[in-house]
Amino acid sequence: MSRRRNLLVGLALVAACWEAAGRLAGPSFAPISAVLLATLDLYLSGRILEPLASSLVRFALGYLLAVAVGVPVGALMGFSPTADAALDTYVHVFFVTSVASLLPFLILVAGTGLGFYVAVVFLFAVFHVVLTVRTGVQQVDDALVDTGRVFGAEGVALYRHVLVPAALPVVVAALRIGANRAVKGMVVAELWIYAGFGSLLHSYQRYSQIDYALAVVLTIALLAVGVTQALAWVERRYAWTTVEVPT
Amino acid sequence: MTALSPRRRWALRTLSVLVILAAWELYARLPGVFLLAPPTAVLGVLVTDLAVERTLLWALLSALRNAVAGYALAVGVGVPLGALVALWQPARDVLDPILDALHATPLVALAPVILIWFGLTSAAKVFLVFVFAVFVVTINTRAGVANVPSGLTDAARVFGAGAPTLYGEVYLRYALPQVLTGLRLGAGRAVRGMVAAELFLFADDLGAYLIDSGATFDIARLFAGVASLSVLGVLAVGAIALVEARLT
Repeated sequence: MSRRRNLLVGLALVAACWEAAGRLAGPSFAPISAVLLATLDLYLSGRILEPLASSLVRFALGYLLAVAVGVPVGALMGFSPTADAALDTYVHVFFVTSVASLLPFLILVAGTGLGFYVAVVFLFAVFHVVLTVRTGVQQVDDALVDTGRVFGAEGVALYRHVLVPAALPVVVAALRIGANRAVKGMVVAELWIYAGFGSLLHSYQRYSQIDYALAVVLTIALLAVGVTQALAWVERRYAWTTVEVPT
Repeated sequence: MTALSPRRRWALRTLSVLVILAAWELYARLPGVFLLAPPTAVLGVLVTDLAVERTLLWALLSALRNAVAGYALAVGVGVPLGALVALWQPARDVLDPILDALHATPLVALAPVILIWFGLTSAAKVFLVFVFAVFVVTINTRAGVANVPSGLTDAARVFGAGAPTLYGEVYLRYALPQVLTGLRLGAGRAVRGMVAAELFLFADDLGAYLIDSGATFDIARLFAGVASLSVLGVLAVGAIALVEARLT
């Protein structure tokens, strides 16, 4: 239990340093107590609820679309070398492209409606999902496949009993990585359009309300960590192996 | 899975790229299509703005200054911090969860906060790049140093190695590949942080190049900017990968 004690003592220390630094540095750096009070106020006054709800819808739509496209495409690339050769150039090109630099283009194509957010979230997440699933499927041990063949699995049965179960942990990992990317996409899109969390952040910045701005950042951080940790828990609970994934 | 022969693989790749480029070119040249620029037009703008008039080249280079400064800061902080967290148990207990949480957080949300702290200065941009790059450097350094087998360090101690040998030789040598992985990923993050700084803090030449292109519907120019940023990202990561190949 010394580990938990260390964590608690350490966090108290970090909080104390933050508090002291915030009080010493003056109004431009808020102490942690002010940030927590601002967070409380944001929730009690309900000001954050509307942005939170609309952001979650944008996140969910883009993320589900990215999973619905990314998992099958990644699996196809993993299972079929032909599909892999045909598609991997595009996936890699988009993987290295900064989606943020596409914002001025996406807003021309999709306008400022829901479609824009879904497009940004989708583009942030989908290539990570594709590459994770592809890498994982390609790493399925040849010995497993050979064993399956020896026991008479061919064609559909080989997929049904060997390849799909072997690849499932990777899909869960891809869901986790994709979810984290999707939250990042959601924040980027909202900052660009001044909507949801973005509009809150911009308005607090305009009046230099650092405590409220940090309170919004705190909510976003909790959201990102919560989504990622929930899927990491699923991964630990149900996945029988872990995978090396591209970052 | 049956692998393709390398020749067939490359033929398929080339064919797929050519088909898409041709389809894109034809579609973009249809009358009435103005939200998509043909690849030849993008290439034309790239050549002009990078090699002839060099507006894009200068914009990239001036933004790159912030990226290099922020990256250097991220390496200077991230590597020692990662080593500290790996070697000192109390620091690990406290900082591990914090580092993981910050790594998962969309740090671009800090952009408005950074503007309050630093104002419209290039220090703000350097700081955003730093924030983008530092966690991946720290986490990889931590993993590399923590993975040094205790057998190695015990053996070194038994043979009388002092701290300089122990840390300079044993830990450094063993952890180096993973530290370099962190530096490589950090270089990619730094380029993304640079783009985010141009778009979400305030626009210098590079941000203006992208935003003005969009605002004037100059899609070819916009795509040239996006493509050059992708290439810059690949070059930055590739440069560190070269160092990696030399050292390991």
